[in-house]
Amino acid sequence: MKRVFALCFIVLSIILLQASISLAAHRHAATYINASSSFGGVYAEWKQLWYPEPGSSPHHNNHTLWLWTNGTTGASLSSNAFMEIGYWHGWNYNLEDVNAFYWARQTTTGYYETNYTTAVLPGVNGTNHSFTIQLENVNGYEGYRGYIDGVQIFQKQQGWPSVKAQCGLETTLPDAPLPNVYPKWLQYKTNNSWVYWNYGAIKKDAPYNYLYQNGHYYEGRDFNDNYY
Amino acid sequence: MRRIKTISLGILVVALIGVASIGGYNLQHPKKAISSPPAAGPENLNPAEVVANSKLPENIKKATGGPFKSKEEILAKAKDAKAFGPGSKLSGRAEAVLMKQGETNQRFTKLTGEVAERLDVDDSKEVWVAIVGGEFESTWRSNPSGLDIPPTKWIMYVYDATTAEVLSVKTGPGSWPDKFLEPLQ
Repeated sequence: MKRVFALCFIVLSIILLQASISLAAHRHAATYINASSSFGGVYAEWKQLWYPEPGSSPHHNNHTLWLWTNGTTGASLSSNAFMEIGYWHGWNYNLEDVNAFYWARQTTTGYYETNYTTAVLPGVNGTNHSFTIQLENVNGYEGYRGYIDGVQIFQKQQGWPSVKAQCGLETTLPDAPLPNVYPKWLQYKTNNSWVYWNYGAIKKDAPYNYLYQNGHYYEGRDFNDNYY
Repeated sequence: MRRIKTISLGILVVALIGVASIGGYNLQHPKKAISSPPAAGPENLNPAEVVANSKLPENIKKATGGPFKSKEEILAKAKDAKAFGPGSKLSGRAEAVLMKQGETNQRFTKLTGEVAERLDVDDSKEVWVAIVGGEFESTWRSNPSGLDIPPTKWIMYVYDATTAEVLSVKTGPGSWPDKFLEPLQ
């Protein structure tokens, strides 16, 4: 009888393990910048990489530049408003396997939209691309424009200011090794000038994490830290 | 006797693991609905009879041979996606409307409180807008805050009407699908 219980326990454990793998939430390997004053924009450049291989549906990776809007920083759901631009690899919401650039946004009203673009294409694995989100007047109202390789991908009216930016990789894969997900460099716009983020090299802590060492404006988080 | 019992139990466990593995595999590999047109038998067709029996197709664009889909087909595609996840459910509400991409943008800018002024308007392109209601997990969304986003009540897919590729996915407050479909002033 004891043996039957033991065997049932093993079977149940296997089933639960499978379920937890299939329902795994997003993980991040991202850095973020908290501005002492509001940003005028943020710029990142990175080498486009197709891995980690997202594998089967519904898994995907997105290499993304986020700019928080309306003065929000994501401290709570009601203060979740951002614009984002980046690269999507893997399965999308329509069960299609894609390799494309995209942009998305969340508003303070709870509206979320994500869009693919064909205006610029990712090209071959390892190609360098640049991503920009700028605060701009859009038809006379506060708004943001997004650019990939200098080509405008979106323009949307959405509130200022922006006091936080993030950049990195988001993935649904729970334990994938994430080498080389750091951006090549970052810049941010302050007082109408683009400032290179060159103080302190980008630290590449293999195999998962990267960290910007400045101690003043930004800090990095290890991929294994899960949410932040 | 005891050995037979042990062996039987072992077989049972292996069988259960096998079933569980297949279940897990299917969770991660949802099957796409694949429809293929019935094969025609050209050798038996009488051209005069074909012309006499032909009807104007319901959707003329589909007759051009492109992947343009009918309303039923685009709804089936939207419902099949179910915004990921075995925990997502459909409520039964599902509708699709064919419109210009510019009109779609205008309708959404009205909801978000933006001033439309023909923002991002592209009237050269037609899109299918499919709205499906239900209880959808939100793990598919990009989520830089890391906070758990509660399930959403509706999802809107915007498809390129010519290629049937998904261009945009939207979700938001519960009243928005009805407001979106209200006549434009």
